[in-house]
Amino acid sequence: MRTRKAFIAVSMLITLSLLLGCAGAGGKEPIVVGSKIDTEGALLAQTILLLLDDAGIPVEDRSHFGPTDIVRKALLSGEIDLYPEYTGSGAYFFEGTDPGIWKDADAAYAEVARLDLETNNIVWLQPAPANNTWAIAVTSTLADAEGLETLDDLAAYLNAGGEFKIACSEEFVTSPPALPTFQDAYGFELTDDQLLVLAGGNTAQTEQAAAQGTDGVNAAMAYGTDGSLSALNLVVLTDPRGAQPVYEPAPIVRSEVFEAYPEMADILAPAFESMDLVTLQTLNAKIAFEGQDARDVALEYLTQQGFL
Amino acid sequence: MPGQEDGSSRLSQCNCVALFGAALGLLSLGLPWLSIRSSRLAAGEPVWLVSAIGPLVAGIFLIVWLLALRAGFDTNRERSAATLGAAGALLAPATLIAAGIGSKHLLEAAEPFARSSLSAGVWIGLIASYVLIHTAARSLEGRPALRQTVIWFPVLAIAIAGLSGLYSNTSLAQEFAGNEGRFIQELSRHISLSLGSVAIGTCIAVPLGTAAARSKRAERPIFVIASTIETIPSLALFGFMIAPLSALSYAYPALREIGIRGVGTAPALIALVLYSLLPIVHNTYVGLKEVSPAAMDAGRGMGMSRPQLARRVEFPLAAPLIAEGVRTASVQSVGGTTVAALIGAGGLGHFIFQGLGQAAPDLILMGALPVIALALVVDIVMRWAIARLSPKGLRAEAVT
Repeated sequence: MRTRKAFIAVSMLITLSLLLGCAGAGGKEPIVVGSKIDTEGALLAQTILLLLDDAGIPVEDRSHFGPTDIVRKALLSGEIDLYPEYTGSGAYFFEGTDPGIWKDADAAYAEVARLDLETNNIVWLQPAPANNTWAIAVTSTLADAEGLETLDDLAAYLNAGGEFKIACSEEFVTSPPALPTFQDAYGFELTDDQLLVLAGGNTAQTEQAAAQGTDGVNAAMAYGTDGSLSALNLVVLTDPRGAQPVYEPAPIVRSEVFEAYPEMADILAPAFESMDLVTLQTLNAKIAFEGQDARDVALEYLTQQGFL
Repeated sequence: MPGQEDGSSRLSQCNCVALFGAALGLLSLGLPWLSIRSSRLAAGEPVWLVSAIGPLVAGIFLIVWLLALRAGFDTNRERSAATLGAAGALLAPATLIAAGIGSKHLLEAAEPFARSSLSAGVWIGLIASYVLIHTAARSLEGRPALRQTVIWFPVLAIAIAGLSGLYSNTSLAQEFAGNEGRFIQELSRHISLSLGSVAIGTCIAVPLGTAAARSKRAERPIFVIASTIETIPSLALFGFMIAPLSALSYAYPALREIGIRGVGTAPALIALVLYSLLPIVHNTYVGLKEVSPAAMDAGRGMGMSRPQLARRVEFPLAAPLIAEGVRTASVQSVGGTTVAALIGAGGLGHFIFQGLGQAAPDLILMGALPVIALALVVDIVMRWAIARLSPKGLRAEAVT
């Protein structure tokens, strides 16, 4: 008897877990919103979810879906319907395009929107006017002492033999649009001793290394809209020569879903238009630095601004 | 040399495990208890137990750990076990509660976004308490009531203290509060992915193991394939699934309709099913091979047909080993599912990778600790079920 009871208990457990897994399939088709596995992805996904839900459009939250390649594949295969992507990523998705196009915000948006609609049936909606591109940030101590504001200042400082060590990822060092582009555009060259390559390094780790001065590091690879920059006393050096592609975040959506709910363009546009560089930095900081829930941060912002 | 003999016998009588646990506990008092950070991402400043919660409480901790150390030398086995059990059962919740209250005091005096994380002292203290409880429970087999109290009191006390918000000022609890809704969703995803894959894996692996045991020709290829799969790193195996599944789902849109796509649940489930094969195939094979010829002869002598022999002699005798394979596969699967978050399948890995991305250690812990707990629970439940599933005649041997 006990044998049978245990057997029944175990098989019920397994059946239940299978059912749990299948639940969610079927029923009315909601818009499945995904995002990359980072802070800004979560913030923008929650913004989109809250706005669509408020307008009475059914939604499903699949934010933090995975790294760029995975989210992109998920959108192309229909696993998700919508996620926030960056205009500059077009240079990566569509090889062989003119690299100059991606350094101009409007041209980059027009180009990626056209190419993605033609080849993949994907619609690009209104982007936010915030450039989340690769950047070099230095500690405010260094910036103040040496008067560093732009990458030109940095090049002059480096070429005069100034002390410098940057925490960065492997990709930042090797990927042509990152460090090599900065070096070519501003005329400086970093030696191996001036690079601290963190395995799998992301900007949260590189910025922390710079803020803590780990291993003599006084600079970090950063993204323009990173929330922790000001809190960690880091200063982003500006890019007056426009060496970097412009990365403006925009919701992108499969066209069949867009045609089912064309009103989403007008629902999302005002909020995205309102999110400039400082706004995104501030909101990202609330998530990454203060540890608030991305949904609460988005809700507070949208309510304050009167979008909800 | 009677004195020397006496000394060595006393040393052999003392409880080495308990001494180790008590020494570890004393060590924990010398380590930083908490780490206070000016913000979620800033570097931590170590805080010791004395400064976190005051000398009086720290003194009580010291005395209880010293009592446990003394009990380790006690030659009266039952008295020693009772003291060790009581010490461990009190120290485990006390350690966490002290950390929670200490965090509250520290945060009142700190900046608005300051965080207080549990540090080495708390973790070592918890491990040391667990060692005491474990050794006490083993020695208390003869006193079931006391034994159950020693095991369940700390679990209950820790849970009740948690529910009444005593830890709410620790950074770990704050991460949890910020992700509560998502946590339930990812936990249930994690459970259904890991156990669902093992359920499917069992349905495939048992016939494979049976085939391997019955036919010499099938044996080699089955084991070569199952072992090769096991050597592929999980992220790579997840990655391999994406391209063929995407192609399939494009070729047959019907597949996409039922949820088989290149990313998300389908590739994760398939990879996890593949991983679960080897332990179950192996144990089915060994289980069937080890059925004693005498039992088979007895069955044949009773006039059983081949299917009857399989159903009434072979499989019941092999069942404990097969179930043991399912248990191994399940525990392994609970861990493996963590990586599924990287291909869009969700699960508790979600918090681990998010935490890694933000360099927020407590968010990583929020994903990692439940994975460990889940693996332990699955292990315990399956062991219990296996003990009940075994044929009565085999029970004594089954639990090895």
